[in-house]
Formats: sequence, structure tokens, C-alpha cells
Amino acid sequence: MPTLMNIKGFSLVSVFIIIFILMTILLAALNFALKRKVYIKRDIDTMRASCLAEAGMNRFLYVINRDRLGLQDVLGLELEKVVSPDEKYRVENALLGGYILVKSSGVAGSRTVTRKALVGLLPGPEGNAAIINSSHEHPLVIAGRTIVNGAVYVASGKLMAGSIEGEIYARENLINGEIVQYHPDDILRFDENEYFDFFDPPNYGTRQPARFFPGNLTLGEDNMNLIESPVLSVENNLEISSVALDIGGQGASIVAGGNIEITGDCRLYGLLRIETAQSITIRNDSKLVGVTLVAGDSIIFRDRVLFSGQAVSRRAIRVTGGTRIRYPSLLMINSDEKAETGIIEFLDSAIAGVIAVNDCGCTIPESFCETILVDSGSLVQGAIICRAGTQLKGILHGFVLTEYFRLKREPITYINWLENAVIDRHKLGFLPVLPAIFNNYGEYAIFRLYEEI
Amino acid sequence: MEVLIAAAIFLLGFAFLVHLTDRIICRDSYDDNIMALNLASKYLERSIVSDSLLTGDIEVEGGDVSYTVTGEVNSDHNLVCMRIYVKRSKIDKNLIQLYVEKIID
Repeated sequence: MPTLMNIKGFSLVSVFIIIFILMTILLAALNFALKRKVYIKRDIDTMRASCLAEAGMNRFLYVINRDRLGLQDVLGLELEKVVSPDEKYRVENALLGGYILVKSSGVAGSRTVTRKALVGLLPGPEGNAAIINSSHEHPLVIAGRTIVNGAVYVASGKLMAGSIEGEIYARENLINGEIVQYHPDDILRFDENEYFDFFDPPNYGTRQPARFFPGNLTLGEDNMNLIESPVLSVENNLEISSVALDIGGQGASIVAGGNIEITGDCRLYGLLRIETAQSITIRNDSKLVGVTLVAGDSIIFRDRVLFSGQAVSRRAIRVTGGTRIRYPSLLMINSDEKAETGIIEFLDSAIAGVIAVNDCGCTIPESFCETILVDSGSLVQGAIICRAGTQLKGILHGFVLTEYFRLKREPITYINWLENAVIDRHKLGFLPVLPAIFNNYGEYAIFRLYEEI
Repeated sequence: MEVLIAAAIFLLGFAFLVHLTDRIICRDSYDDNIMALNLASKYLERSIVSDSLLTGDIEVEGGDVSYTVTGEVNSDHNLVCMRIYVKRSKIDKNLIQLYVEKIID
């Protein structure tokens, strides 16, 4: 009898255990399904938000291309559309180094997808200029083995083949495009105020309190987290060596009173502004992407540097030693003073995808106080814009807008001579948006797209 | 041996239970969404190319389920604003709704 009672008690326990196991299984399955439902809803919302962001981007392109608004009316314009209570998009835009940075945010339910795009101009069908020569006084002289693929706009209306004694004559048929005498009304000449708006580099976090270091500072692997503070201020010289850091989109600034040297295979990514009243040197295989450099004196890229971003100097920018600069980067000399040097140089096999702008105040041809130099063996893809003399000996895939060309053969300097240069306008797929516009430009289009969730 | 058979039956039952719960509660799986998005994109391209602009439903066989895609159109000159619905006919439930704007020449 006691044995039978034990069996009954065991059966009751077994039933409880089985019920418990079954309940656990049911709850687990339910939990799995509910979580999956939430996941799928997020997934669907992300898709809807992505479509909304794309819709916003298309709306912007429609407005700038088809609504007949001028570029100045569209810049800074905010577009917003509420499609339904839980669906909307918002589009903002700003100029960034000669291109329009468009940011379109689509919101669906709990999800937001942001698309960022760089918008440029598609080349027009024909007649887009390879050379825009603004000199009214001097005819443009083509010498040596110069090859021009694209139209040549000459303000003086005169273009001729020339030869320096003992060298070959240029052949005019090496210009594959029409030669046009343009009137100033055909091109919006650069207005200085407008110019600053177009190329003013962004300033990240300067309103935040600075973290100040007296004397010199070396940033390395041990203390690289200092860069992440909104503003890092150094009294004298700063060396950044062997640092690998991604600032991301939050933005940070480094300001130094003395020289800044970035060396030792540095890797700096994101919205970082590095500024000094003196010089900035980047060398030794360093890689800077999305960075803005501002220097009161010179900026030097050397020893196989990879750079993508904006560099603004008051005196000189030198690209040398196998440096690669990704398109679309901006190199700019910006000075109101009549400085003795105001030069952007591409030397020693430099390959640069840039908009190079030399905007020094001095515009007297005979003084040669500022210039842009593309040396033989260097390749520049993009635009060269120079308010004074341009020395072009290398290859340019893009166009050059210059007051005059300069050819230096000691002891003579030839004004508005172009020798042994290759200018191929058709190799530039997208054009920057500049305050100088031809009527025959194509429409605005996206040439680089990013998506953030 | 009996224990193994019991374990196998138990696992099968559990898998079936999970599948059943998933179908009842979620219905639209991740694959379905991807398929719906692809269908909507094709539908959009097709309507723009043919210039017929979504005049009717399109039924598409996708695997073991048939889908219906419908759309609404609001044309603002060359900018077409559309809302695309993708349904699975057997369950008659909206899988996804997409709002799209496209520029057409």
C-alpha cells in the first residue's frame, strides 16, 4: 500500500513537470514570434524610410533642374513633405568644396534613413570649355606638344601657334574643339563675396570650450583620445604620429599656434578640422579622409600621402612625393594680401582629383606673385581656377579657368603661353558647381551617394 | 530506442509549433518583404517605361504565393508621386506600402 501511494505521488509530479515543460516551450515559441514580428516591422519601416529619403533626393533634383530656380535660390532651401502621419521626408543642402551636399532624411514609423549625396553638374553636350582664358591683352599661344580635347574660350579672341627657338611648332589641329571668343556676359565672373560662400571651409565645434595644452604636444597611440574632444588647442607645435582614428560625423577641431606635422602612417577619418597660423605637413603614408586643413602659411603633402577633403592656405600648397588626392577635394589659396608667394604646386608624379583655386589678391601678370603649377609627370583631375598665372606642364583631366598662362624659360618668362600640356575636358565626368556658369552646362545629378540608417 | 523516437517526435513537434506561431503572428517573413520590394521596384520601372502609370493591378507568382501590386499616381509635371501597395492575395494583407517620387522625361 505505501508503494502504491508513492507511485501516485510521482505521477502528480511528472504531470507538473510535463506541464511546466510544455508551458516553457509555448512561451519560447511565442516570444520568438513576437520578437520576429518587431524585427520585421523595423525592416519594413527601414525600407519605407529609404524610399522616402530617395523621394526627397529626387524632389531636390527636380526643384533644382526643372523648377527654373536659380542655384542661389536653391542653396540652403529646405524641402519638407509630410506624406502621412507616420511618413515624411526632409531635405537640406549646402555647398561643400564646389559641390552641393544634399542630405535627405526619410522617416517611417520608428525608423529614419538619411541619404547624403554630392550633387554636381553633368557636362553639357558640346562646347564645354577645356580652357577659359580671361586675358584680354595677351593672345593665347599654344606651343610644343600641347593637346587640348575640348573647347577653348579666349577673351582676347586670339589663339595662335608658337614656338620657342629650336623647338617644334605646335599644331593647331591638336585642339579638338571649337575656339570661341567669349564676352564677359557669357560667364559669371568671380565675385569675391560669392566666392567665399562657395569655398568657405566648415568649422567644427569651435563654439565648444577648448582643451588647452601649453607648449608643444605630441599625439600618439597613448593619448589619441584627446582628438575626440570638440576642440583641442595647443600653444605651440603639434605632432600627430601613428594615430588611427575615426571621428565620424560628430565633428572636432584641432588648433595649434605653431606648426602641425602629421606623420608615421596616421589614419584620420571624419569631420575633423585642423588649423594653424603656421604650416601643416602631412607625410609618411598618412591617410586623411574627410578632413579640413586650414593653414596661415603652407600646407605640404609628401611621401605617399592619401588625402580626401579640403585644404585652405594663405600662402602655398605643395603636393609632392607620390601623393594621391581623391576627387572631389578642394585645394585653395585664399588671401587678401598681395603676398609674394601664393602657389599651388603639383610635383613629382602627384595624382590629384581636385578643384584647385588660387585666389590671391595680386593680379599683376608681370609680378608672377602667385600661380598654380602642374609639373610634367603630374596628373590633375578636376578644375583649376586661378585669378593669375597658371603653369601647366602635366596632364589635366578637366578644365582650367585662368587669367593667363605662364611659361618660364630662363631668362624669359612668356605670358599667356601654354607648352607641352595635355588638357582633356571629356575625362571629367562630373563638374563642380561654381560661381562661373556657362549656358551650355547639363543638369545637376548625383555622382556620389551615401546612406545612413 | 524508444527514447530517441520520442525525442525526434518532440523536436518535430516543437519546430512545427514555432513555424505555426510564426505564420499566425508574423505572416510576412523577411523573404516576403524582399520579394515585395523587388516587385514594387519592377512595377515602378515598368509603369514609367510604358508610360501607362499604374493603371491596374499586377499579379505576380512568387514561389508558392501570388502577390498583387497596386499603385496610386499623382503627377506633378515631370515628377511622379506614387504610393505602391504590395499585397499577398491569399491572406489579403498589405505586406508593404512604399511612397516613391520619380523624375520622368
